[in-house]
Amino acid sequence: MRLHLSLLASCLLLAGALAAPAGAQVQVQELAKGNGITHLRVSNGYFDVEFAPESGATASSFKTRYGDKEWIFPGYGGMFRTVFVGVGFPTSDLAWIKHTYQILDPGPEQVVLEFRTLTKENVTVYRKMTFPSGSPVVRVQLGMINEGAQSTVQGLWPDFMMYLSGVPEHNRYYRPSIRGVSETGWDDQTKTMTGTDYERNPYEGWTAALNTSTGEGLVWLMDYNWLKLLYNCNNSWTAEWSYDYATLPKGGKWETEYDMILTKGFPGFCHASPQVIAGMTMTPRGDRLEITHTLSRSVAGNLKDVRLTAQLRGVDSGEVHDLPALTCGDLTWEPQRQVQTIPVKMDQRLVCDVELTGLSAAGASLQESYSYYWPGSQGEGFDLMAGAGTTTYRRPAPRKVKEFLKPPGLAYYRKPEPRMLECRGPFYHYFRVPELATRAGISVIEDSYLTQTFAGTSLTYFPGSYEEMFKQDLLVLNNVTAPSLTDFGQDAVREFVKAGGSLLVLGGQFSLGAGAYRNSVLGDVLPVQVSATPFDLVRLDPPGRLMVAPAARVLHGLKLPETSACFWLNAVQPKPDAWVEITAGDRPFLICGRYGAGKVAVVAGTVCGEPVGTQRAFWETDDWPDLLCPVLRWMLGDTP
Amino acid sequence: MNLGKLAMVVVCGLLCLAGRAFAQDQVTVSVWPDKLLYDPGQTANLDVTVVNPGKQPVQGRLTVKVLWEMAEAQTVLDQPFLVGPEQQQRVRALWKTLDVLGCEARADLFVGDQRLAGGSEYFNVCPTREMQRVGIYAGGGSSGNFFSTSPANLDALTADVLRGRSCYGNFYEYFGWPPDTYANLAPAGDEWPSVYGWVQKAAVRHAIAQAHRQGLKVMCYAAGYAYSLTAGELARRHPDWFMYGDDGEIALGPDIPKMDWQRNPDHRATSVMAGWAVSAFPNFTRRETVDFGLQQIIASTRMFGWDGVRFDGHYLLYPPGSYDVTGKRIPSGEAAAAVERLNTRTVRSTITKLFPNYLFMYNSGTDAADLDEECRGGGGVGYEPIRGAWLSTAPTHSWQGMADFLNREADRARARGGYTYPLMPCVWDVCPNVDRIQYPIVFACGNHPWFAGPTLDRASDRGGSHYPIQKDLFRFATRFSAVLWGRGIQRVPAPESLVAVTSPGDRAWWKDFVYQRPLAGGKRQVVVHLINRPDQPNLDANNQQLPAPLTDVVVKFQRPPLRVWLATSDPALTYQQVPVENGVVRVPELKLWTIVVAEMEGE
Repeated sequence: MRLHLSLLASCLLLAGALAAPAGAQVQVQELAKGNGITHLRVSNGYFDVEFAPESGATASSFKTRYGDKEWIFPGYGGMFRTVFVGVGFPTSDLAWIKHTYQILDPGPEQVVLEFRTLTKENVTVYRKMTFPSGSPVVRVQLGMINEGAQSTVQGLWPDFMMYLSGVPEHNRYYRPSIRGVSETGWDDQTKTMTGTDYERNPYEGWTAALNTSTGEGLVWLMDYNWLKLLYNCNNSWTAEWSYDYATLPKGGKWETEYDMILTKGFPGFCHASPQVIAGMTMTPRGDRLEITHTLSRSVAGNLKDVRLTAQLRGVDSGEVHDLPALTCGDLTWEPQRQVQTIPVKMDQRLVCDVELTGLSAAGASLQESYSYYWPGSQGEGFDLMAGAGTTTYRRPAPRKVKEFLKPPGLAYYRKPEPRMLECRGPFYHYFRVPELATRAGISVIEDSYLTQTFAGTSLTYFPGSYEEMFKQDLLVLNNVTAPSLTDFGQDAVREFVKAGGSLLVLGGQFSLGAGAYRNSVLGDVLPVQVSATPFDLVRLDPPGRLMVAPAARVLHGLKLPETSACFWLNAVQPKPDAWVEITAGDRPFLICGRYGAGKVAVVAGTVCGEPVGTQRAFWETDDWPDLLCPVLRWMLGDTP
Repeated sequence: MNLGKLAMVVVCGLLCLAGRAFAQDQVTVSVWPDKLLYDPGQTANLDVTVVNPGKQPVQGRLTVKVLWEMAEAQTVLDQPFLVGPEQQQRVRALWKTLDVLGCEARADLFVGDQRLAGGSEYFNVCPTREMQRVGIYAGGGSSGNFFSTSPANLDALTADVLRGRSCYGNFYEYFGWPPDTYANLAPAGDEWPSVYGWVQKAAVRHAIAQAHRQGLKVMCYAAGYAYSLTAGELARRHPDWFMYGDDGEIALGPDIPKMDWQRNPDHRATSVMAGWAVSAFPNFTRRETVDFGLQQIIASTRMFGWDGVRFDGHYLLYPPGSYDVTGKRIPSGEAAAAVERLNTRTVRSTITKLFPNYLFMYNSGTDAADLDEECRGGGGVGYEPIRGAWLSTAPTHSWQGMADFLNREADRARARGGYTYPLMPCVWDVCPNVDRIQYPIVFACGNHPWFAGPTLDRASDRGGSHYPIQKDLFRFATRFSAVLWGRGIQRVPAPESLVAVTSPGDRAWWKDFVYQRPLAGGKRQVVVHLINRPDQPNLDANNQQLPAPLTDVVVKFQRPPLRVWLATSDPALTYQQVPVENGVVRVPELKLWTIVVAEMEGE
């Protein structure tokens, strides 16, 4: 998690001490463009940027100290543009609408601008931008305020469309992912922009772009805890990312910060943080592998006494090769290159783990680690696939941490007429939840629906406040993903169940492992350990016949007269305090447990597959209501 | 004014009035082939209509000829002809068609040695299985109630086909009609909800029948992705048949309310509920998924009588970087290419065993790994991203970039037996001057027009209609399809060895557009496209200017041709043999596009 205020302070304090070009004091000018339009131009020795408040407050011109070429291409080009998640560019009004501006600080140490607009969604979106003198860094505080009468769920999506160094060739993009650094963009062989646009599994809070010919690059640092995905539209030369949806109650505010750093001299990027920017290449040289480290400081200031220790690890073999420690000394904005070689079998997948130590500008000790994945000399460049049908290298993404303000005195009580909210994903109707819930005594049923777009999954409705969540008695997640609830929604569910509410989770292609429950707040609440792999949908062959488990408490003694079967289920393991009610074959099918004062049941079975011959799908038989209704009654009753 | 001058003015005035009256009374002759595209050996019915609006009978000889190539001709009717005063008379000439590609049917009425009136119409003769050699897109259906069986709509479907034909579009690809482009192309029942609205089976059949009546081919739009509840259900029944993202989520793109509506469709809710309910990608590494789609196409062809299939993404491993249900990476690189080649080959070979003349068209561009398979047997290769040529970032934004790209596409496909179809211009953004320039480039580069068909005009299209320009240029391309796309045609990589062109300011653009093709009798044809290069280097959708006409364009052939013709469509279709002196031909005026066709000895 980034400590923004302290970093900003250190960034600004150090700005004057950097190797700034002569006459590099930052300046801002208001440029009259006619027809009442005014542009703002900021120059600080590293770059010269012009903003168009009348058109999304987009940077309509951008030039750097390294060349006089215009980076913003005609037409749709622009930098620092913001759109709403799920609306996209160029559809989003936010990309084009007029912003007001204020020059909060005209210099000379720094220039601070603020752009602000009220969108048709009744949300004020603002962007406060800080340009220190003689610094390659732009700091952006990006936020939104809900001006409407109802709570709303919105996400922001920053968008940079430009040619690095002003030319369309040689533009490459770097995204930290659970599979290593995923690269996309210019392909030297085909002379076109090619590769995968989306990186949906970021691993750290940064992304970067580089002109591999000129060496000019841009690194963006953003808050990993709010980072949803990274994106580069190869057809349009963009660097973009999406933040998670934020739930904004009436008058609620959401704010984040990101930095954009102009770099020169990196051959590529494998890691970036407020302390350090790093690139790594691995090149076979005869029987030795040459590892080149490129390092510079980042926004937090120069670094002293930097040492680097690297270890090479075979992904498949598990072999570990320690590399000699490297002494880097001081790190400034000028990238420093260190090369080491090692004899190693090169037709294998390798990971280089780096440990970096040193002192911050203020003298505090610093430790930072990062990794670089190399698919081997037979690999496919940065396509991280090692071959058809193989398991891909992946590392678990660090868990995101978000904190939400909870109203005081929040308490759950069961309503005289029990209420249920069912969040419905694909094929939800096969589970017949409303029918069975009514049979179990639930009086009020509300619903919500899953949608999946390029920006991920979302629900048509989910409580926007803790109070709203606590109005329910039972929440049913019927084949919906954890991210569709938003992080706030998951926190609300946790508080709701902890306080005594009930949660029923039903399996499917959008649930449990496939629904990103693992490593989520929602996963904490469940009585099952969700599979370590998101590919947890398992075919039962032969189909798993439903049986009451020996440890069953709620369904103990229940007869399941119909020989119904489950064909596919999400593979889960019961947590220590949980118990299995029903098995399908030898797999847990229905698992119950407690979380705080609440009750939670997970049906790991799915409605996938189809019966063959005399087989009968469980959801089509009377076994299903016979087992689910008692569980629903248990969840809403006083029986422990 | 003296009396003499006055008398002269009066006489001139009277003569003008008389001339106008004579013009109004002029006999007209028109000819109409019953089809736009024939198979060789079919009989073309050439209906000639002679109208005599005058007060006197007209007697003479009526001749009907069919002309092809630059000077080949066959007289199919030559008979005495009498048409009474204020009468219209029809006569039908029959022609057993020859395999000659572009043709002109010309009817002339002679009185004595004088040609009193005449008219021409144009068509192609090409074997069905090879028809994409002369392919010109006519349309693709539309949204709303396009396929309803209301009488008004059936009339509209008929009119749509006639409009397509009147613009010389010779094939349709009907999209938006099926419940699903992959999972359900042969719907049970008489009506169903599609992504655009309700569709009635009888209306689809009516539209296809109307197109066939005019000699147009009709392709079924199919894809390697799926968008309806049917496909969603397939993914539920067979989770292992579909692709998953690296987060383990199936790439299903569900819209649950739409899925619910498709489960219990209600006519009243169509306007809000039409659209994609899912967007799922089958895992085409599995033979079952390929077979499933294949059987849908076969069943659909039996149900509707399609002439072919136009894939909008065929059975490829897409999206890249996907996984199977167990978390195994879907192959990429050469391993993926091998699977895709096999799938494309399997689909084509299976279908053509049942329907030997079936047409295949793909939306892949020529960088496709399975290009050999796509092109084999005369497949069409579309390229959709070129519709973004108006964007300044597009490599095809410059006119030169566009020509380079289109030449590359056509060369690659031609070498493999296929034909290329760039998707241009952008259908909803009409800039007539852009059309006037880019269509000649499309043709001069050996490509075929696709997608912005004349029947796709909509009231909301910015800038009007592509139709008038398409009509002129597509007529020209129909007449000279042999010169544009004839068998054995090859682009000449070093054209200076054959020909040199000089023009004021070197404005005539030609080096990218020189071809040779073999002719019967051991001769060969050299084809030089002259394009008046626009002053603006880039396509400008907002303010495209046309270049000023060029005069004194001189074409010098290194070896003297036997005969040379100039053909143009600026805007009227004209062609004529021109004199050659020492291998030199003079082009008196180059407006936008003129073709110089030289017949040479065969060496």
